[in-house]
Amino acid sequence: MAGYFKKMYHSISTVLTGLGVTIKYGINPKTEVTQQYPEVKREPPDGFRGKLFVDINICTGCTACARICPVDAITLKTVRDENKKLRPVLFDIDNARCIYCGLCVEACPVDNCLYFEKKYEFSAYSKQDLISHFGLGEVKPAESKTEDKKTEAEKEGKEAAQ
Amino acid sequence: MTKADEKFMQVNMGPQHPSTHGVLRLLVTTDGEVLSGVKPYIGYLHRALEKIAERVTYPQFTPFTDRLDYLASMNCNLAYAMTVEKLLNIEVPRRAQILRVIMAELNRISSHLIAFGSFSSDMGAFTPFLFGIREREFINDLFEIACGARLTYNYIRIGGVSKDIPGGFIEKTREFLDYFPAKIKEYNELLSYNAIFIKRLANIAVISPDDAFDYGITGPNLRASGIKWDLRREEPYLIYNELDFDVPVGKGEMGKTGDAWDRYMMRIYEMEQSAKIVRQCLDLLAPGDYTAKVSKVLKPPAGEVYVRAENPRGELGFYLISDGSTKPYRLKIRAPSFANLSIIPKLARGVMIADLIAIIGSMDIILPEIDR
Ligand code: SF4
Ligand code: SF4
Repeated sequence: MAGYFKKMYHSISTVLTGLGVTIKYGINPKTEVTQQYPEVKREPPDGFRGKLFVDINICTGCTACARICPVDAITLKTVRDENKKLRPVLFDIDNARCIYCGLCVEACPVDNCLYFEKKYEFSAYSKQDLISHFGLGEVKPAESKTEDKKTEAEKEGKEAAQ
Repeated sequence: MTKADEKFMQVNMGPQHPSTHGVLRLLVTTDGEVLSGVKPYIGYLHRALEKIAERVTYPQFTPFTDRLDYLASMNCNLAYAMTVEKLLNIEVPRRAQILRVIMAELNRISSHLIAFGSFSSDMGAFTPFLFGIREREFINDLFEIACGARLTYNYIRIGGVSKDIPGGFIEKTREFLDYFPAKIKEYNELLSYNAIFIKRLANIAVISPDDAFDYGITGPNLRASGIKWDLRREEPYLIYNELDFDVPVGKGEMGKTGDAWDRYMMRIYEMEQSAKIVRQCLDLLAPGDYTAKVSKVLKPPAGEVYVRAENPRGELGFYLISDGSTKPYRLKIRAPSFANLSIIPKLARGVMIADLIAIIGSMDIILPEIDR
């Protein structure tokens, strides 16, 4: 009989201890930890891996980022412009495919060329809208279609002769 | 169907059941309220990670290891990085090793917090889940300032870590460590020593040491059965041999050794130990390199290695065969949850349906790791 009451006391006391913890949080507004998300927006810290951004004007078109990407989220097409520099005409990043691993950012040899923005809200209604296009589009192509050094040298020689 | 079979009923539990911790389908044969057999069906989260490993280069596979046990990505990153380093014979700088231990142990805490929280919500107590998530948020914030991501970190890389910790990280971690013990005490008051909770779990689904060995159970579930086996102690990697921590084992405080309550409590004890380890590591942290010099193109010599590490859920192993090219020839992943799941049919025979939830919850399995 004594054991029965002891057990009962034990059960009730442990439940009340637990309840005490809950009530402590319930009545103390200082313990509130929730942020009301759409109204209050959280500022991510530096180095946050959000949406990718490319500064296409300084991109050298080396394709290091596209090659390292483990899920092939970057589509890159380069042509040589009039100064024979590689230019990325097509630079698409599929945000639906990207896993935000950061390998491409680390692989990019140009400072502040490819980096993560602190943006984390970019949902869209269709998958197509999730592709960011950074490419330059059309660039004036190099005069000689072939990248053969010899022909270029010949041409230069001709010009000099004239 | 024979006459004897007719009294049994077959019911599917899952794959969308909230307490199956992912997408696990259990085909349950019941005789009224009593289970006569349980058959797990897995594979709903299969992403062919082992096959993907053969198609990507060594560094490229690291982000995929995040997606093995997503609640303990750091630990998975770590085990994979150690495997490749062993193959390549890379010496990891001391600072990187300490950083790795800090991250791995913080991740162990956050993983156990989810185990604690989800188990309690399976058992019908919702408040502890919110408490667990609240403390985990702290750790997520720490990881976020260290590597920029909150779940799939890709932080521990071959050769070291991806970048050094920013200023303020150490202070914030210390703040967390000062704040955390009081919270563990709260968990204990709220749940662990609650008479109803104990009554619900004590003597349920007892795993004997022999069974644990037979099924290859590892991690907290093995230690709950009274076996002192922790890879951090038995086969110290990184700097674990310099650190002072205890390996808690189940003692059958509330019932038999190896029951569901013991398994639950192991995680609470381990969180305390992990916090102790992180504190020591913060004291050891000295300036230095955060990564070894690793060439961009990794071409390990032909050969094979097996490396295992203590994950929050048990022993995670990578068996890697290299043929001398830039891509692994074969990568076999030994997932601890897979072994832990395999004992569920045995445990669940003859118990009540409600106890099945307690069994799954106390094993703390995670499906992406099982299906890979
Ligand atoms: S962050 Fe990772 S997945 Fe995304 S584009 Fe860069 S390399 Fe590819
Ligand atoms: S790695 Fe950098 S420079 Fe090279 S193509 Fe990519 S964004 Fe451009």
